Amino acid sequence: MIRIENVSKWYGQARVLAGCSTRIAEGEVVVVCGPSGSGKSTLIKTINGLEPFDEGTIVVNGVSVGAPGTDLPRLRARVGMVFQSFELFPHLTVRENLALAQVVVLGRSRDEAHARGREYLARVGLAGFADRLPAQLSGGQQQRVAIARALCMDPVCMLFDEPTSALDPEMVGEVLDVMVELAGEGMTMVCVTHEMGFARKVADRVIFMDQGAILDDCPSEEFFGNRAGRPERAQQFLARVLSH
Amino acid sequence: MDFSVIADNLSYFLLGAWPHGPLGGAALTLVLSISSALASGALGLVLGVALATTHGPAHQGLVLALGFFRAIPVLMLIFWTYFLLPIVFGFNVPGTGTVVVALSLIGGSYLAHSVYAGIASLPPGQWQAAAALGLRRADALRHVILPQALPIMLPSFLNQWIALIKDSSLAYVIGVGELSFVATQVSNREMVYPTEIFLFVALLYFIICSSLELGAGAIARRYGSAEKQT
Amino acid sequence: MLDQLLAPKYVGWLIDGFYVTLAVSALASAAATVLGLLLCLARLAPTRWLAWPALAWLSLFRNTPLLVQLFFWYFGLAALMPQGLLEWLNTPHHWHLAFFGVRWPPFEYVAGFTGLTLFTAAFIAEEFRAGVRGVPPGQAVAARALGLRPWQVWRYVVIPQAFRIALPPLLGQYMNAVKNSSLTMAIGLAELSYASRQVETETFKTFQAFGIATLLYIGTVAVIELAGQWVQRRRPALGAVR
Ligand SMILES: Nc1ncnc2c1ncn2[C@@H]1O[C@H](COP(=O)(O)OP(=O)(O)O)[C@@H](O)[C@H]1O
Ligand SMILES: [Mg+2]
Repeated sequence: MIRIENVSKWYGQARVLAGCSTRIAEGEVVVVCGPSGSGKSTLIKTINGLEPFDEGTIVVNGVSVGAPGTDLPRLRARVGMVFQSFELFPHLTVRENLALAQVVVLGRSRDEAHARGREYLARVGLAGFADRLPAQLSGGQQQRVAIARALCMDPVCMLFDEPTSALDPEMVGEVLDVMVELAGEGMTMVCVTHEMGFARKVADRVIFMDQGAILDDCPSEEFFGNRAGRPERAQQFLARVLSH
Repeated sequence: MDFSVIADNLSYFLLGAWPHGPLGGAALTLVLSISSALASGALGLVLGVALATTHGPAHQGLVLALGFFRAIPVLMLIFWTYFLLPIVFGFNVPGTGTVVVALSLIGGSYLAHSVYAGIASLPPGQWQAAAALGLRRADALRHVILPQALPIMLPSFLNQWIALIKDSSLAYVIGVGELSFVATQVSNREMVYPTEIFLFVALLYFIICSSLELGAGAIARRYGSAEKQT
Repeated sequence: MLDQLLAPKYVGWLIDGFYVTLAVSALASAAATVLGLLLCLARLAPTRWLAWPALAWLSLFRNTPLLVQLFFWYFGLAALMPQGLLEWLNTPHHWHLAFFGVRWPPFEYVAGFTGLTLFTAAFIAEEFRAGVRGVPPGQAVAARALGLRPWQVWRYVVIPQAFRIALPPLLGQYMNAVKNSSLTMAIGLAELSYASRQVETETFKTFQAFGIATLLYIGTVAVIELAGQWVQRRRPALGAVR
């Protein structure tokens, strides 16, 4: 589904991605973790071409992301993305947030888009909220709408960039529940997250990044079960994250 | 295009009839602008502090009075001062003075709000800390509040002064011989080169105003970066 | 007491002038909003072939007095135009479109409208630019992530939000347009200030002539202010999204 080969990226002199390679199969759930500034966001955003990269290849669903002629908007329409800061469109109601890209990108009729929106809104447990504005929702509710907005586009895979980091602790659960359910339905997912409980329970694989490089990439049972076999940086990171 | 008309009248554009007659042209524009800049700055500071320190009806009355000056066209205010100043003072006020009064009132009204906003943007803890040290309100204002608020206000002062320079062209309507008046005079006399004349005059204004604007931008950037560091 | 009042004829002059003021400033504001948006987009364009000329244009129109610009359009442009075109512009024309008779206005209307529009547009463009800067960059990223093409990102996500942020300063610019329209009297447009001065010279009732004109200006500005407050109150604030 997603093939990343030797991807590197520089900001001037600073190398933020250092020869990253991995493959993500259809239906697989992969958690990406690592210290702040290690390049997780940058890597996940190269997958749908939001971040250009300087070297290497990325192929998503048969489409080469970095190739000059690639129609990136068309690719992005099939790759869902959820952001740390939700990024609902504040001038549109929930219903319109869900319908916008369906109508202007996929060319669906308004009725069709609204029907689809209703369906996914119910799936994230917010059936009665279609006419609210984002500012009238809690953070957890906004993030669930953002997930529904991405699902309305019938994505072939979903990218999550720290979807629970901006949430108050009591709202983290409601968002993770939606993600767990989605994983159970066989969605291909790449999740940047520090929620190790989620990773242990749902992820098939865990990728550990540090200083732009992928230092560890293994099944999650291995990652959590064989602590001694991890690279030193990953051990330190795990010790810090799991100690709370 | 024939710009020889500019060269032929250059001294008249820049200085008016001076030294053989009264000062005019671009020099008078500068005199008008600088005097109204100073007067509007002083007025804005006083009225802004008054806005920040009054409450209730006095405050409301002040807001209303300032609102009046901001709601009417500069041109109408020049008409009013032209008509009223001689009545108030009992003697004929020269056109230059009339324009300076009108521009200062308008500029002062806008600046009063900037000063007020600048003072209001400081955390209330600053007033309390000064009071806790035993400073009276006036001393707190002078030594603690204004030194912090003035840098915040500086860009809006400069922008207001740019507006004043442009508005000084309205002195034309009461026959004050500043730059735009001189331009129409020359244009009417020569009859054939209005395009060249008004382009040149626009260029003079542009040079004065845009150098001030660049200054305002530089100060805003400098202040903005200073703010980020803290 | 009665002889303090203005004769109906002169009140009529002021009312006529007021209509001209309203018409010129409304038309110029509408045109300047469209032009200002285009200038703002050009100013923000990624290619310098658009951004730099837009920057120069904006700085030129913002940093020269409206009065000089009006003189330029009225006298200067007329001198540049071929004689035939100027004569055509100066003579009245009538067209009949269905039920409406359309009349080509005298040249001072054209010059006044043009000058006020171009001047106001330069300021409106800057208000829009501030509005665009007020939209968090993550919004455009999220829109792109949904597959929107660059023009769609602007059309559906950035511009609507920038518009809302820019609305209060935009209304301020419309008020300025009303006030600035008074300068068109210098090129002979018979708007409110022109009429008040005419009434004053005819009747010597300075207080009444300027007083009525001043009240009409204040009233117009107040109506725009109230309309703005009404719109702001009626629609829910975007609020903090987090
Ligand atoms: N626009 C940018 N310019 C320069 N450096 C950047 C930029 N964006 C991110 N970086 C750098 O790239 C590195 C990786 O950032 P990021 O992918 O956001 O890390 P993470 O998501 O793991 O916290 C960081 O060191 C950051 O400072
Ligand atoms: Mg990140």
